Amino acid sequence: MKRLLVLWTGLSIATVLWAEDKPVLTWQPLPGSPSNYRVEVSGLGAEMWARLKSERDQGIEPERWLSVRVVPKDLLKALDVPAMGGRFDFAPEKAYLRFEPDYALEPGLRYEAVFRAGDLLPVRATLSIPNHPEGPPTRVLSIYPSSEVLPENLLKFYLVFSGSMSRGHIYDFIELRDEWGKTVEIPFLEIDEELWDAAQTRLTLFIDPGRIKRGVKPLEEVGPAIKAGRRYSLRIDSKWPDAQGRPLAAPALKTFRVAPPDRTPIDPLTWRLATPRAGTRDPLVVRFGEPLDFGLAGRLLSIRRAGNAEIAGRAELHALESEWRWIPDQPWLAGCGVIRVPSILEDLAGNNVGKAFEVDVFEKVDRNSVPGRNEISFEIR
Amino acid sequence: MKKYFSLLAGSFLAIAAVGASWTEGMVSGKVELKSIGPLAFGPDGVLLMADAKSAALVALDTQDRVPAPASAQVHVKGLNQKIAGLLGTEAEQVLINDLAVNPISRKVYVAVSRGRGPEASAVLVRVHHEGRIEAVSLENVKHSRATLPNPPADAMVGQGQRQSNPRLESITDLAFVDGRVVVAGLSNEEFASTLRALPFPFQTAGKGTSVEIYHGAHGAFETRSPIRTFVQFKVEGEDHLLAAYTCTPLVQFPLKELQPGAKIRGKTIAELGNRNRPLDMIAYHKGGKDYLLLANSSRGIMKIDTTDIAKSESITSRVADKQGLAYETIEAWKGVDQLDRFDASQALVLRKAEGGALDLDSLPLP
Repeated sequence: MKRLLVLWTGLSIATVLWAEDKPVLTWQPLPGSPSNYRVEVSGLGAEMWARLKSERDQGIEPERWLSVRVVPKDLLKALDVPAMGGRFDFAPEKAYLRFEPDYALEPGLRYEAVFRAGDLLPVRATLSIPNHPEGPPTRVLSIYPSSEVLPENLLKFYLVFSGSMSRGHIYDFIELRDEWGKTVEIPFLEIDEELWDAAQTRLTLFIDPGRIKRGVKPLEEVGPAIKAGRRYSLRIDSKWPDAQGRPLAAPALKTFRVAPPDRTPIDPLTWRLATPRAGTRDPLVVRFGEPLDFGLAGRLLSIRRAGNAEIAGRAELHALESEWRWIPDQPWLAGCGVIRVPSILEDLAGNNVGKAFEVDVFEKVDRNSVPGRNEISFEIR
Repeated sequence: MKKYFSLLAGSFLAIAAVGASWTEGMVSGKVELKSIGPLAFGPDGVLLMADAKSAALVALDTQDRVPAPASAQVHVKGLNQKIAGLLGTEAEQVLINDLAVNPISRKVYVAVSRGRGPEASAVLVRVHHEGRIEAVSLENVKHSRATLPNPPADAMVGQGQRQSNPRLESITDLAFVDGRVVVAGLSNEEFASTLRALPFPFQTAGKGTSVEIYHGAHGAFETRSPIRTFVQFKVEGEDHLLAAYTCTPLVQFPLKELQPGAKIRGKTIAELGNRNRPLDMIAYHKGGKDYLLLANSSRGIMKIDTTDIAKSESITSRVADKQGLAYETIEAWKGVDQLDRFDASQALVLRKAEGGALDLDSLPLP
């Protein structure tokens, strides 16, 4: 490499570079996501490229020369953080060295690329990725069960949000309080994996079954999570960040009164049906006589024509999840059909079709074949 | 974290000798993961990764088979912050879902979610003894996949509007036990806590065993509470699973009873106290005695002497507070989040430090 040495009477030595070795670092946007970038080094002379090639041939990895790091927001917290992982493309014959991160860069963060090689002074280039455009803040759309009266052995809540939420620390933002404002201690089954749907807009929140089942030690020692005759409130803290890290638009609250435990299995033989007239698209209505589980009742029931063809349409739950309506895509044809009721359907206390939640299966209850209860016949006229 | 099974010297060499068969049926290609964690090592550097969002298990041939030196240790300050740097994000956007030690190389494998929203990516990170961390490429690797079997009732309600199977979205723990992969899980809507045993290699993928767990510790009622963490354990030479539940019963199941369609009734050998949730568990042998080390959400690290476990009485009636096997709290290990066996004399712990940092350390077994 060409160098010009300037001596100052033996006190110091400075290295001055020829004009051709002026490394230039550029952040280049890539197609796809607006946060896909690569870094390119150019501006080096042929001799420097030859020197880098020789170092590369000796086994020196390009990451020795070029690295990309997140610039910490809090510089005091800066640790010895490794460089970002990614792929290097070293092409001395084309006079470029490129680095493409394995991950899209994060909105709201700043990144610094540094090139240092040979005797050159390090060269830096930073890039800030703008924050996402702010949409409407996420809010709690609904909390199920909808009823304001819930059994003492309630098994779960469902929380439905208007947008995707963040996972990781959900139990920090959910609280159950009694009517005097006292927090109920660990009422929920805390699952590290968190029971979200794929879009992270619906959370299933189980009450710890240890606080529900009779004869179980936690129930005897600390009592049920919620007690019959009392009032409680389920509180959702607005600090809970959504998937974009923004707090909720508002806290949410569901207050309810507790009724005695429900230990009666679901019995579809007691359900009441209202059948629509042939030629209409009026709903077929099934009244359960009690609220059923929002998630399962909305998904499990299906409807078939005699002869087994499935009828296309959509289901709705009404009347505090105690009523199921089926709206067909095509007008009803006259004739017979059946509603299929899988045994795993649950009421608010986890009682199944023909089997109460607390029944021990060792007692030989065959939950899959309860005669007459898994199909309900109807006729359209 | 959890699973380092009885792959102690002798038995481990025997397994290594037939190692080639463990990667039988694996294909080379990209591993598609919607989520990652829990993790567990099988023999011969095969890493089992649970993808709970896909209700699937992936066995990965890590090709990491160089034995570690006997003096191997690992100490990484701010592992979460360093992983965030590697992945080009901030520590707040990194979730460490689980970790597992390769029993051959003693390198630490970490299941990481990058991001907290639904688009979070699943990343496998490897930690070397000198503290270097790297993302393990899942692009062109030897692997095999098994999807957890769908219960029949679910298959018949397939309506067009249903996008995914909500029954099996959570895998709470898994382990490799004598040629089978044992998986504990919970469904998203229906309350069904299960243990499944899948033969390995996954030649009969999708035909695993589905077994519901009940235990008779509470009089006439079973709890249906899901298993939080479990280990393989020998009781009088017979393989057992020892499972910890919320609040905190410790229940023992004979492994041979884990058969298709079986109803297992466990024996509750300890009640470790209320207002607590078990996090991770390891078993070890020291000074002629057998011990269990259990990390908990609010009761610290419990060291339980299990030498006389075969003689322990089953707890069948109400107890005032704690009963059964006694424990000692390891006061020096505070804030443990993840726990695994590192080697014969060390445990691996991930602990909360100042400022939200998580430190990874190998520590002598207590």
